[in-house]
Formats: sequence, structure tokens, C-alpha cells
Amino acid sequence: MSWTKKVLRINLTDRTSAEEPLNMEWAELYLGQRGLATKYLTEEVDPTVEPLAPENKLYMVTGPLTGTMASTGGRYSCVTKSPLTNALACSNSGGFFGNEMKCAGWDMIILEGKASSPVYINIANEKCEILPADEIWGKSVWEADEWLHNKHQDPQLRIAAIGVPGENGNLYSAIVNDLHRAAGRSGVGTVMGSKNVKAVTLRGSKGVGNIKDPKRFFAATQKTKEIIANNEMAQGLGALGTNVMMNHMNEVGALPTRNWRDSTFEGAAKLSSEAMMVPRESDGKANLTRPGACFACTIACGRISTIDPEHFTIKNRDDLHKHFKSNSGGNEYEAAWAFGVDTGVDDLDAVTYANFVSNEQAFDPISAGATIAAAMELYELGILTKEDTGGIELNFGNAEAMVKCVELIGKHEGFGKELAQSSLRFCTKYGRPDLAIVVKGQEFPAYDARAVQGMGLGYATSNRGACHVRGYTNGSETAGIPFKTDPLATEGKAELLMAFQDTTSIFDSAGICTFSSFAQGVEEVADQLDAACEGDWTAEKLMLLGERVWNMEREFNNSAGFTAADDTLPPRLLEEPIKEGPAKGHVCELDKMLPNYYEIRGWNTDGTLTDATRKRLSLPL
Amino acid sequence: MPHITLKLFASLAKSSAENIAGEIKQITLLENDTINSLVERVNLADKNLHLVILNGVYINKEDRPTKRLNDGDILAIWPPIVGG
Repeated sequence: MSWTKKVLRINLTDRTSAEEPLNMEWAELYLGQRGLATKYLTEEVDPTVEPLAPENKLYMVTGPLTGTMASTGGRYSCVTKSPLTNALACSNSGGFFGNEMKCAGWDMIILEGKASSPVYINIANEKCEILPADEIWGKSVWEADEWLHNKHQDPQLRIAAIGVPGENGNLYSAIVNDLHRAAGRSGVGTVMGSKNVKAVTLRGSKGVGNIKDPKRFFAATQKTKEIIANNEMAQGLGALGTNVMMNHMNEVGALPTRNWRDSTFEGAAKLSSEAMMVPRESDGKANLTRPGACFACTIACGRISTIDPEHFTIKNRDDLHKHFKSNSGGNEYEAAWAFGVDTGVDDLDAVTYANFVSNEQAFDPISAGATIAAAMELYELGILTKEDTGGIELNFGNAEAMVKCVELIGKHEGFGKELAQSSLRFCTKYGRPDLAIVVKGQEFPAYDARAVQGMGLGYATSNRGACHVRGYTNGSETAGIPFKTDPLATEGKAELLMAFQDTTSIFDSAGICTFSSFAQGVEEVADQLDAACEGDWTAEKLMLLGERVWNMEREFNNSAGFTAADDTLPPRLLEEPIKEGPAKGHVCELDKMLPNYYEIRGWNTDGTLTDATRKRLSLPL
Repeated sequence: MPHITLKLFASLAKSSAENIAGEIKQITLLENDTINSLVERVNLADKNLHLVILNGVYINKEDRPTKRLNDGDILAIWPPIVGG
């Protein structure tokens, strides 16, 4: 129970849909969401498939706790093969789309094939319609959202959509739901666009009532809510958001700056959570209006912000969507870093504007900001010229130039089409692939791996390319959670990372937010699952499941053609020491950590799984 | 007089335009001042000083009673925080 045990399979080529039972044998081994959909992908899709071919599939999937009263139980994921990395893609989003899917009676929606013309999919409980989207093709997510709400005359319709970049093959396009929550990374929106699907709309009225032991579940969820309510980190996330890390990472000298040339940023404070709370001169309002929470969340790390009405990005602009001049999804740490620190821009309103555009047009702010930063370095080296940029003076720190690039990416016009290729392809075109700060083609997030060694190992081995939410060892290494480790040490980091990776796999498969893991442990997750779901769920079983999910993902990537040689970092991280601060003189010592990581994972030296590992984890031999 | 720069963040700091890089105080050092003696003097001893960072380097709880402060040091302190 807790699963609806129903899957909606949609064939876009034939424009048909069919209900089928959820494979409960797989649910027992892979739980839900990330784990379960990846199992479906590995069984149904050739790992060597061209990501934008009709043969690739897109899985929109919930977990067993999605839509329940479990705190943070509003998550859903998009699983597919990534056009950005050619590896597995799994992007997780909050908001209210996941719980609506569950309330409509579906654990998972599978998109197969390709529609011959633009469509959107309208799902209301059992009813599934594949409808023409010609009127919203070419429109932003925000315009499409409004049109769909009007068309169906339903203000409570939940919508996940792509923007113009996703329609046009931008390799880091996202799927945005509820206007500003995103399955953001690895180009899941690009895959949706390749199938000619503009949006999925959901309306569910069934509720999620199939709980095994409601009384025990209520007690278990209540206990977790109390743990979260009394946890200082959770309180801090509500008050300051994820961007509380900005000043901290700068203080410890691990804030990657100007395409990772530097590791501290003189303008960091101007972009920080603290700065977001200061009333501005023009209208007396702060950038931050209030925290925002996803379905069932008792943390509320989301930010609802406004842009200064006097700022150049919105002043005297009648061409902008109304949300630019009102409250919308504000800066998370990663977006503030990518559009700000990585490009050397210290203008909070310019960065907020860029973040709004990434929501409006559904693209990954990390990859977008990092690609602009790489282009800025090429420009400053004289490799990229004003002729190439269409007249933009693309120097680090130029807020107007950063904003112009973001607008062009959003519209998929001019120089924005070049930037849409992502940093690796862009830098390769100009003969400097070494300046693309990527692993497996995906851009890095905001933690310098030379100053936080475990994060380097995490980036190198992440199954979806460089990523911080696959194994957030920074929590331990610089933030002391759950215990403090030395960020410059390499010893013990393989074990630390593996624990983080496997635990995160559990949260991502259960339907709850990984941020709740800062307060609750696997024991609490097991208690909730055991009360909600059939079967016996223990922490021990879940830890094995988390490890199984990680290894299954690895098998997919290996079958797609990845090898141990891809578990590496850009030369800048391995060869260019940090210039100043506490980590001065350090590079990422990946070679000291990787062999140990393979060993404790039970992998061969070439990065493949041993049969003993497959057997221990009940993976196909 | 020898002094250090104390920077307080998140819930330890008052929100204001001046404090976006932390609430900054210049504290005169007394002879033999340690992290803990200074923290007591500025009435922070009852707070959860989770991250105590001296010149960019984290100082373990057990080292704070004996860790001497020197002229020009920067001491940054956070309560438990996390991001992503």
C-alpha cells in the first residue's frame, strides 16, 4: 500500500494511453521514485539509445510517501537518459505536482515515442487526454501555465511544463512545475521537448488514503515533524534558505569564483541570504518576501522574492511577464552562485532576475550560469570575441552581459543558441575543453573540490555527472553535519561519500526531500515506510536498497559506454592549486580517494561491478 | 591594542544592511585570551556555536578552551546551518 500500484503509460507516437499495474517485485527492491523509475528505465530502454530519439523514455514518478502526511512528502522525479551527459538523468522536484499525481491515482507516468506535432497531456484521475499544444508552443512556462489554467477553467490544475529552450534542444532544459519548482538538472526538459510534449497537467481528487496502518503512520510522521521542528538546521533553512551557505563557503575559502579561477569572492556578501533580508532604498522592501514550502513540507527552504522596481532588469520594461514585477521563486544558493559568483557578478537583483528567467523558461541555472562563466573566461582570454557574442562585452563581473546572455538562452536566440550547447561543447568549439568545469558533461555546483576533497570524489563518481545532491559530504566537511570532518583530508572520504550517496538514494526513492535528512535519519524513514507500506521496512533493508539503487545506476552508465576514465575532474581541479585562503596550495587529490572508493563499492578497478557485488545487492548478473 | 574581528552569522546576528557579511565586532584582546574566554566575554557562551572558524579554519569544540587568539585574527561563528 501507499503506492497506488498503477502506472499510466502514454504512447505519444500513437497518441494512446493505457493503465498497467506497478511492478511490485521491483517496488520491493527499488521502493519508488528515483530507484523504481530507474529500474523501469534499465529494463525498457537500451542504455546506448540516442537521448533525443523517440526510443528514449521519460518517467515522471512519485515515491510511496509522496502525497502522504509525511513531512516533505511532495517530491517527484523525472528519470530518463540525459542529452547533456549521455548518462542517466534523474531530476527531483517539489512543489505540488507529485502529490497531485498520487491523488490522481498514479505512481508513475511514462512518456514513450514522439508526437508528430506539439501536444500537452491532460490527466484528471483516470482520464488521460493528449491534446494539441500549438497555441502554447513557443511560449514560456509562465504563459503556458496561464493558458492551461484558463483553458481548463481550473485554478487548482497542477502543471509541469517546458519553456522555449526545451522545445529547441537546449541541453540543460528543465521541467518546471507550479511556476518555480524545477526538475532542473541534466536536460530532462530537453527530452520532454524532443517528444513534442509542452506540458503535463494534473488534477486528482482521490487523496492518498491507502496507508497500511494509519494510526502508526500518524505517530511516525508526527515524531518526524517534531524532530524537524526542533532541529536548528531545519529552522535555519526556513529562516535563511539554502543561500545561508554563501558567506560560509566564502569564509572557508571554498566558493568557486569566476569559472573556478578563484575560490573566494569579494562580492559574496552582497548575494547572501543576509543581503536578501535587508530592506532596499527604492520601496523599503527586502528581496526576500517570505519563505516558501512545497507540499507537506515543515522546513520551507524555498524563497519568495521580488526584484527592486528601480533595477535595470525590470524598470521601464513592458515586455516582461507580470511575475517579474511581483513575488516569484527567489534565489537558492546554487542559482545565486552560478549567476553571481561564478560569473563574478555581485548584483543581487540581476541574479534574482536571471533566476526568474530560468523559472520562466525552464532551464537549469547551474548549467546556464556555469556556461556563461566559461564563456566569460574565453572572452577575457581573447579566444571569444565581441563578434562571436553578438556584441556583448562578456567580462567577468558585467551584470548587464550576464543578464543579456540569460535572456538569449531563455528565448533561444542569437548567442543564446551557442550557450545552449552547455559549457563542454561550447568550450570544445573554441578549442579549450579544459575550461569547461564539468564531469560527464554536467556543470559543477558551488563547492570547490580543491578545498572540500570529498565533494571532488562525489563529483567524479556521481551517476548523473557533477552534482552536489547525490552525496553532500560538504555537510560533514564544512558544516559539521552529522559530524565534522577535515575538508582537506582525503582519508575516510570514500566511506563518508558512500554513506551519503546510499542514504540520499533512499530519500530520493521514498518521495520525501533530501533536505529532511539533515534532521531525520534512515530509522525515521523506515518507521514511516513500515507504517505506510506493505512489506517489512527496516533501516538495514533501506541501506541495502540505497546501495542497490546506486549500483543499478552505475550499471546503466557502464552499459551506456562510460568507464573508469570518466570518473575524473577537469584539469583545473586536479592541477591548478587554490591561490589564497585556508585551502591555498591545494588541488583535489582524487587519485588518493578513488581506488578506495571502488574497493568499498565492490567494483573492479575498471569501475565495473563484480559479480559478488551484484549478487549481494540482488542485481541482475 | 591587539584585537580580533568577530563575525556572527545567521541566527547569531541581527539583520541589517551593515551585517550582510556577518555582524562584525572589533574585540580588544586580553592577555591569554582563548576562543572560549572571548566567547564568554561577549555573552555567547549559552548559544550553540556549531561552526567556529578561525581565519577560515574550523576549530574543534575540544580545542576551543585552549586555542589562543592573536592580534588580527578573524573569528567567524555560525549556529548549525546547512544548504544545498
